[in-house]
Amino acid sequence: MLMFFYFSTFFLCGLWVFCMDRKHLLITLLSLEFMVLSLFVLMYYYLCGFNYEFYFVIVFLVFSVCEGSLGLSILVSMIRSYGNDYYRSFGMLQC
Amino acid sequence: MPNNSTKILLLTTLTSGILISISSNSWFGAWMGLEINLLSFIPMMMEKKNIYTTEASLKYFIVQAGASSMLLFMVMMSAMEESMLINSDNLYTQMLMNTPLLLKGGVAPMHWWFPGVMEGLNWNNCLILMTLQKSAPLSLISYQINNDMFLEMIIVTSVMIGAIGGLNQTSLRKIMTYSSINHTGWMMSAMITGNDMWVTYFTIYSMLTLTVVSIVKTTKLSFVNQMAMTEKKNKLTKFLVFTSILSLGGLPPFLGFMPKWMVIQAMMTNEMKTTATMMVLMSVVTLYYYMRMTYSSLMMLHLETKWLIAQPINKTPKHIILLTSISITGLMMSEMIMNLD
Repeated sequence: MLMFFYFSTFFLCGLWVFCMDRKHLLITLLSLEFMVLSLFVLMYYYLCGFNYEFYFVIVFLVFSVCEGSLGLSILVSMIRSYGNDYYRSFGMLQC
Repeated sequence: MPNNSTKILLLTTLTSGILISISSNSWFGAWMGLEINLLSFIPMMMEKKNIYTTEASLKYFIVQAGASSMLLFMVMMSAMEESMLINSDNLYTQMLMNTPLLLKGGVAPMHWWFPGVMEGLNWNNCLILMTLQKSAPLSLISYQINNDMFLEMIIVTSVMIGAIGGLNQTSLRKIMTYSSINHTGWMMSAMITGNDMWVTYFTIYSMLTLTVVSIVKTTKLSFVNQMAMTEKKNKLTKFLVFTSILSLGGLPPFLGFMPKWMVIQAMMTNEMKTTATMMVLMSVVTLYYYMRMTYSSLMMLHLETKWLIAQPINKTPKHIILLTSISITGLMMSEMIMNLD
């Protein structure tokens, strides 16, 4: 039960920073990586109960690294078109 | 800027991601499919390299990546909880697992990213975003759905927001977005009542969206006032736009009425009269803004600007005429076939 609270706090801290609309986009991407890290620990803990079948951890890491690099490439294209990565400059498509 | 072969590759991986996620045995497989889908749609959005596509892809990426990691967290936590505790409360588990999927599909209380993303894309990607990208989250929801207060609330809010949000819009992309949100509410109620009825609804909705988008794409319209300024002699285009939009709104002689009819029928038999009344009323509101899109262009004395570039009348592509004639006569044809025996 203690592990539940630990994982929840770990993940929700990352989610809090992810949703908090900080100054830079890079912070959001970093907090996404933080969430991925908490998911990694959670998955490690979970798969210990399945006869230590850790092969899915590899798949998870591959996908999350792809996601992180896609986020970085979006950051690069953002900087190339706006000149900065501030959240304040993203008002182009407001509805 | 992807060229054609890149586009083929990305479209293949996008579709295979959807297939992996809807046909997987476990939630991990479903998560993997959703992730492949996201990773292949983001480069497709960057068709033209400008400020709009960049921001749209950024918004889409942030929302979808957050939602997929939340989904994985919820899945693992609920699996561990079920293995540990004996009487775990199932209602909240289902609610928590549905919420990231609803966020991914752009269903109403979690819809705020959807109009902004649609505004920055070209029409092809808008079509993919409205139809293909919704199919994986919606089918994952349909696997674990049951009729409770939470989903009824989701249905009512998505139908209402889809109707009311589109009222004051001038951009055709936003109007299509809000109509998509509205139709998603109908699809959710089709999921609750029938077994595979939402697949029928989804297929017919996708076809009607394809019709409207292909007309709008060839005539290069993107705002409501441009629709009113189409050429006076070009009656065929006006007719095609008008009928296909009425069909999307679900007016009786056209094809778009058929899935709504089925859903209303099933909801009546399942004693969901209040929700059904709400949905029908809100669909009248959507019909109002569909009508407002096209009505002024059908006036006899409407404005025609001097700088209008005349489009040749006989250049209307054949597939548009085919799609529109299906959407006009589809309901009558299917009724005739069913009553033939």
